[in-house]
Amino acid sequence: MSKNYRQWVAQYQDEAWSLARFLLKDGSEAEDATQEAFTSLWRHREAIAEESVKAWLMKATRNECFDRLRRRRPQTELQESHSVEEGGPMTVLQQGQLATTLARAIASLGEPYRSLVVLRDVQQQSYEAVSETLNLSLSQVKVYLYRARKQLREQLVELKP
Amino acid sequence: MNEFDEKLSDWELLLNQFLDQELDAAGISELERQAAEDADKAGELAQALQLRDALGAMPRLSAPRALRRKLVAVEDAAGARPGLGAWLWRAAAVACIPLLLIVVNSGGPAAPSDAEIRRGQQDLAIAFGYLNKAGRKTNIELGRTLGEAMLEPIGRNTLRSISLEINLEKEYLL
Repeated sequence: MSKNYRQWVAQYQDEAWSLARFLLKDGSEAEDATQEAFTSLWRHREAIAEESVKAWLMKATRNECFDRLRRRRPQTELQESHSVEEGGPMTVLQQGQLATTLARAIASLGEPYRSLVVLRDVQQQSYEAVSETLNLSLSQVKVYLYRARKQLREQLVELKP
Repeated sequence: MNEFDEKLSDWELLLNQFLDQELDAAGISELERQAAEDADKAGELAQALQLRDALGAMPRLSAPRALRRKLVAVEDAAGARPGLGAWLWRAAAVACIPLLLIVVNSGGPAAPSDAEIRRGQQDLAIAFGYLNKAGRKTNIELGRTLGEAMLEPIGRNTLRSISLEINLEKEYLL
């Protein structure tokens, strides 16, 4: 089991951390949230089927992020929802202006749209995996993803420099 | 799972599949045909193309290396191996043996025999052996969980500041 845990760390740390980073918009807080999720995974490892580990972990990461967002002051979150963090994902994405604009647009999406886009379009997870992580039916995933992408398309036009 | 009646139109399904890069040649022809007949759809397709390009330009973000160290340490801290706490408890227990001997022997007036003194010295040596090992283990754990910088917490700045004399007159002036 110990061996499995290390494999899970190697396989899923990037995806868990990048989801946390997109949701929290803060690198160090994303690290803390990811660590909490993995600690929880370790504690519950005996009860989780191997094929469900990834979805379980992504769900735990997302819930941890939401807990942290709830604890933040509403005003702070409101200000952050349209801001771009220095040194965060946006800075990394500056290699492409288009990607920067898109990252900004994703950050401004509400839930579950933001998680949907990150899991499906950024991390390229399957519809089934996204559905399991977000507790949505496949048809809900498709409809919500369409709406999320439509918002992104419209925002790309508005935000285009 | 849930009652969810909303369904996408054929056009919306085509656009979703296009962005999923799951459209075959026939599907792409159909998408282009519909876009050619409807200006709104043509606009949507142009935006979808732009979105697809932007998604393609998004780099994959990798977690920081320090995070991996912390995540692996979760396993150690949770008790997969004897943890730091266990080492410290063992060391403390062994260190108590000479103390117990002293307490037990303090009741009588007789001085300890040579054999008892040798035994006490051996117990002390063992106890210090455990403490040394616990100290090394502590350093390793500190390095792994908090980073190398925590291994030597007292740096030059601290030494400089504690070596300075306090100017009390200055304090009174404030």
